[in-house]
Amino acid sequence: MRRVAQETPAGVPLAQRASMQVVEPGERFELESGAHLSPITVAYETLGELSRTKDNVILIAHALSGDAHVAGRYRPDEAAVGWWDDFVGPGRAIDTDRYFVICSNVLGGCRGTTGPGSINVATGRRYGMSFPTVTIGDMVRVQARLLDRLGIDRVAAVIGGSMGGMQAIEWAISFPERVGSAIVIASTSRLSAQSIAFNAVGRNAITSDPRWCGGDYYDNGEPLGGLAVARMIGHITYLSDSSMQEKFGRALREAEKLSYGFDSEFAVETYLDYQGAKFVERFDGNSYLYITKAMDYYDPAAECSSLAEALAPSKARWLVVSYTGDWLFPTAQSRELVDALLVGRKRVSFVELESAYGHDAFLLEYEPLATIVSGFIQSVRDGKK
Amino acid sequence: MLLELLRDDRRVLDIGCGYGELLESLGRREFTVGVDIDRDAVIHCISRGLDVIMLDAAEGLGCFSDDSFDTAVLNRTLEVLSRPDRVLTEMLRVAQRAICFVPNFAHWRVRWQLLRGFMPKTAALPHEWYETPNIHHTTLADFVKLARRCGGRIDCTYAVRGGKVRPHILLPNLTAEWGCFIIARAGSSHLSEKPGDATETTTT
Repeated sequence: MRRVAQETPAGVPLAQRASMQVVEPGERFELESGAHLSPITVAYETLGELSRTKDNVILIAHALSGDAHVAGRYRPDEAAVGWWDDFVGPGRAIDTDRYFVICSNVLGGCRGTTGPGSINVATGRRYGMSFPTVTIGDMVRVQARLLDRLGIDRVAAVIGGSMGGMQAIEWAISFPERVGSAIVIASTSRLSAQSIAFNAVGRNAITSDPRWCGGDYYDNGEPLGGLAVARMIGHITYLSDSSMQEKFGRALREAEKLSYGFDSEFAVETYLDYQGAKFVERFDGNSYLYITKAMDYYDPAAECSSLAEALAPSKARWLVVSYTGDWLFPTAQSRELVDALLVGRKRVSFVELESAYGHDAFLLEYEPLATIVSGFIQSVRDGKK
Repeated sequence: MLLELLRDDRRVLDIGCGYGELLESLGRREFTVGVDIDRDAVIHCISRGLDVIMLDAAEGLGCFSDDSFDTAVLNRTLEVLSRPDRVLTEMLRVAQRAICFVPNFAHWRVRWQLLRGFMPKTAALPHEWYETPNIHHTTLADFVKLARRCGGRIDCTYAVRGGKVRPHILLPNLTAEWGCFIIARAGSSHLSEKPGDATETTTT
């Protein structure tokens, strides 16, 4: 498969959007929970051109609220670009002039890949809560199927932030022969109690919405209020105290005086309202439940004596990056991963970057992450020669 | 000189690796790791493709298991560590031998400046007293004592004078600007003088 990236006049490449059935109807694809699921369709996008020797593949794994649209535009006249467009494109950190980038929507998602909002062919109705519980491991095995179908044996790098980093870890463990390097940004091999708690509150916001109806809401109006609250909670955890203080402080959005009422009036309130409202336009409440649960469950060391033992199969080079302002996935969690890799004498680099932004820093601050990642990937590719 | 000493080592830990000059020269080996606390230096190293961990060595090398390395190098870093004794002990745990490169505070120029009543400033100690990052100066004689205290046995000492490495000089603690020590664990026998051949046959 060879695709030449087309350029729009603005210099933003056109992303190639596609979807592929990776599990056929009737096939029994077993999930980690023991349940079976079929068929499975994966929505994905590619940028750049696959080299003749297929040695320039970079797989990007998205986070909780992301999707396959990582960069570029689908149409030249489109205003919106992908969620990591600053980072991925011609001449950027992940240079689509040199690398063939693949990003797919995760299993359980709502942006084209099979998830709880998909039609169950057995019943002709949407799955809702009858959709089986999926795990990070399941997401990765579905991505591996996609690469199989695309004829790609090995990737130079799997890169992801937050939940994307969990997928990168899982790739390196489950498919050691297929992964040249794993780049894990603002992530962890297992959520802390606090992170699970925030996810639980988000799920409760959704399931407490009277419109949720046990997940069977697709014909009657979605639990948008609950999903918006879940997003607001999430958004608070993605920012840092200092960045919120700096951006909003105690400023009022419009009024000069306090209203002595309960409408949103602080700038931070209307900001959260906006984030919630924007999110429900593109996200499905049930997917939010399934994906956050997959994050909560992830812990490759759970059935091993140590994390180092869990990581033992990996043959990848590792790059682990954390941020000073990230209190959701703090540096100590990244260090836990790094220490386990070092105990197993794996090749690993680690840096804690300084940022006031909090967890979302990897989406918001281009440098120095760009320099680090591009140099690291280049060295991985050179090392193979 | 360090490169020559590390010629046959497959696994090297560079503590305080800075901008990675030594790691870069070592090239690709079985397991080469640099650690440094300086964020900009670490960023530089990683973007050059070197395996470097941002880590405060003073907080311990607990992330490395015993005998992870043939050699642990401490190159011009000892003087900035809060507890050089702990780091040296850790080096001898994670590596079979340690190589330490330290400025000599007993060099005659240092002594002379102190005698005249001033804080010393030399090529090896180039900072003014009020801006120096160095918090623990040592003399070659004191370092020998420290190495023993940390469970090490000095196998080999090189003195550096006038930018040249001299295995044997007169009164090294007075005339050497730098000392380079090759330290093995006390109790392990060093079968060869050649670096990298330190086959361990513990006799304790």
